[in-house]
Amino acid sequence: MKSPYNFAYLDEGSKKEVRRAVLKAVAIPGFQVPFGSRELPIGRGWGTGGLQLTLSLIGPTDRIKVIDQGDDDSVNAVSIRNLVVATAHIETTDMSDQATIIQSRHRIPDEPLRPGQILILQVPQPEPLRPVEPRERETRRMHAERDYSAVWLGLYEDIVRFGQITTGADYPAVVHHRYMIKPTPIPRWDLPKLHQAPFLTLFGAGRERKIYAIPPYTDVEPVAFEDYGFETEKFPVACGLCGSREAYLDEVLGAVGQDRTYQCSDTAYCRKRRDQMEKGNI
Amino acid sequence: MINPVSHEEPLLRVDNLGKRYGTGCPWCDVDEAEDRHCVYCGSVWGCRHIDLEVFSGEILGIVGESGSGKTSLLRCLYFDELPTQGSARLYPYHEGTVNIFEASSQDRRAIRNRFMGMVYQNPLMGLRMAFSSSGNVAEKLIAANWFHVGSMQKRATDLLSVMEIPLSRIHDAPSTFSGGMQQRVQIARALANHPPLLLLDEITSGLDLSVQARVLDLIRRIQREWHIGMIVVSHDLGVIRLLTDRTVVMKDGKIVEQGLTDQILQDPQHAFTQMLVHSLL
Amino acid sequence: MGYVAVKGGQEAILASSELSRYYRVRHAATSLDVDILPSQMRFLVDRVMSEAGFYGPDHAALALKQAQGDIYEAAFLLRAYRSTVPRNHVSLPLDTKEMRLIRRVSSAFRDIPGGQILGPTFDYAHRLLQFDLRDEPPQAIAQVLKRVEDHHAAEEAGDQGVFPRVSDFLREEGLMAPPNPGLDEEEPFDITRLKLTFPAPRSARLQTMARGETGAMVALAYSSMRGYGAIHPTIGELRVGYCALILPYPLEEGEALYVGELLITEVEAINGFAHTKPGEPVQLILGYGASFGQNEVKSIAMSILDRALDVIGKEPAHDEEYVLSHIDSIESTGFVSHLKLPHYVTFQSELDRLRQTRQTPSADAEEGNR
Repeated sequence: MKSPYNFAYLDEGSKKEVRRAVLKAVAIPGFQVPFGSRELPIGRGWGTGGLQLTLSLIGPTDRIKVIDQGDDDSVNAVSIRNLVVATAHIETTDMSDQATIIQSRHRIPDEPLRPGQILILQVPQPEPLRPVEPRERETRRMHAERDYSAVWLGLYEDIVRFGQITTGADYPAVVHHRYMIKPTPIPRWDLPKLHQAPFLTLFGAGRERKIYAIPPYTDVEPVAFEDYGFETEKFPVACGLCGSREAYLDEVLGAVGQDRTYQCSDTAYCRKRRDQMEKGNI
Repeated sequence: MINPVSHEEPLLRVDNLGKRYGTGCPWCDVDEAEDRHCVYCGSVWGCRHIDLEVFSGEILGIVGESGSGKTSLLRCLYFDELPTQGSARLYPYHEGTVNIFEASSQDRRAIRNRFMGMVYQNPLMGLRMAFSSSGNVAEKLIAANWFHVGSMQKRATDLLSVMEIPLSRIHDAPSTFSGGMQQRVQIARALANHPPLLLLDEITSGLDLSVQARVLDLIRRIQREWHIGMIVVSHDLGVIRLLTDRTVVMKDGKIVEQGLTDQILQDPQHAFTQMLVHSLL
Repeated sequence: MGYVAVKGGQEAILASSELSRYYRVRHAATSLDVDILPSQMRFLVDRVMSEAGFYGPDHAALALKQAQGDIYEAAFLLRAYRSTVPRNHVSLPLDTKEMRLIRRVSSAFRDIPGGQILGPTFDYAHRLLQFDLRDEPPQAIAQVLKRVEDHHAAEEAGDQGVFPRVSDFLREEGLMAPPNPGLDEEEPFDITRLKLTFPAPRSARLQTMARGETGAMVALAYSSMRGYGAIHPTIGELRVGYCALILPYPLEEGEALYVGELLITEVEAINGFAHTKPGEPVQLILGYGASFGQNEVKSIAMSILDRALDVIGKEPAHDEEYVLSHIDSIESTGFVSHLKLPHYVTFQSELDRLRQTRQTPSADAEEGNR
């Protein structure tokens, strides 16, 4: 299966550009570094940012895991993984602890990641100030001057109107006490995993042409007030398949007349637990 | 609640402030040049050679007709525009030793948040119409690093009730309010951090007389109780007479006369001031 | 190759791919001949090249066949292909003055040196659906070819004639400002390599629009003409023709190589007058539009927007960041389409908030205000 393309599809110049942007991003935690995003065979808005990061960082000995909504088998994850494999011939896995690089859309695996692993998140809209300020020129100035009060104002308004903060996923957070980021539409459940994490997290927005990073062991604080704190999602039951109460769950609608069930969104985590249960390890 | 700034220096001192619109050229850039319009480069001086002082607890009026440059001056003081020349010193900022126009953009933002409040003629410019009135006041508090919702709500509610906004409306957006009510929300927002200096730009223009009277009453009450310094800009000598202690008269971008308000009204010196006083209804 | 998890998702993709192919061929006995598209569907091919920013009529035709006629898919295929092609040379700027014209009109003047040449256009055609076009026997085609080619051979007596630019005349008279080369820039900004910042350099603005999506640009230009904006221009000149592509010869200074020709549409629109320099008399302001292939309405829209973006105003057509951020077809269709991806994790998070909110008494609920 010889590919007419370079290893990992992108030409070496493009990879260098991405890596330079990554280095700068790691040096300035949370700062959005602009980069010359390339067009790829998958659509803009479908993960080209995350993919450019993955393609620029993998080498022949890497092993990647690709998930979407926590699921390795989701159609988009399969599609992305196929593209990487077709041009890089590296090993893939669905076990979080065996991957060197994990590219994910909308979830951080529930299995804790280790030092040395790299988590790559796909970003639709990197700018936390965009909901209050549509112009890029203005938001750049606001970041430079640490002018984030409009974001807190949005949360204040929620509290005034609804009695609580109503932001669901993609909850804004301050990195290293300096830059505010959007952590991609991961659920609030996942946000605490970024705080003082032993692994490196990279964020790629292809269409918006930005890369940002949270280096290992960095403070990440969700935006909140002293009297209205940050809350994660709550589930009424454990996972119906593996019994875990420590994982983010998907609500599955049953047939008419049947109850809803809940099961782990991280399919690999769930399967691993079930395997261990069968062997009598839990 | 009160800012007792007990010092003898002026709260605000402005020296040789000037704002030019246009590129400027060797002909008009000379300090002695008197013309407002430059025939060579087409530049226009909005205001020029402005020297004035405001002391804590006093209300300074700036009166002039449309186009006299008074709004230009105010916009420079509030950093909505940067002046072409001149300096301004604010006592709470480094005890008046540093020109605020040379401050970093971070410092300028801090000055705007904590030391100055601005009320615009058009409420659209001073308020976020999509947010509640409470939120409009709270935004200023957030910018001054308040992080407790309960405290912010209390301060916002207090200020809005001083401004006679009914409790039932403080969660409503100002877009649903009348003009007079919008101005009162703007004033509450400007006072959120209890700034020592308040700037008011034609705030009663376009309002009904009874509504004007109410707003002016509130301003007088705040000034009495809180002892803050104010600059009131108006083309209406009646407003000036009601509110101010001293007055500066502007024409064609320059100050033509200044002094105690009473004296200016009784015994105007400059021809233009005389004309203004005589047209007072 | 190591272990790859192959489960339901993989099978679904393979089946979908097969079905797509089935839908493409099921009603046809023979496969679409890609070679006929650049002539018989030439506007479609031109549009795809223009929105991809990639000049290759054969590649565009193939992309259209593969995409089964979906313009956005075809432009996307070309753009992605472009990403893989190495950049070996930079040509000299195209000289549109020396264009081998097939069409050239001006609305600003009744007659212009060289004449008004209608060329191949639908502008004055009656939009009557011609049912007999269904069957077009080879003799009919041969007759048209012969008539036009004979006529052309009879007329031709050397070169095609001289067609000085209308804008050059206006400039000679001092009525139009000379082209501003762009204050500090020597190298054009490259939007494929750098992220666009605002205010945008003019070269970046023109590049973004030259490969912009036709519908988006036409809508914005239309809004400006209808009143959501101030620009309603006169077309100084619209040219469609072939421009020579010339590369500097790498081995010898000053030498150049002719490599081929590109079909280009160029529009120069005149948008009122203004002071271009203080102290100087008023001059006409030019708006410029150009694109690959014969894409007239897009080029006209571009010339309107080029001027509109310099005018200060609140309407969308005057907002440079708004216009330039939303007219790229690969980006806009990509992001709008991405909504088809699963979003159940985020939706779950929203449901959680909704349920919490319904349980929590809020200040307003208690006061009965809403």
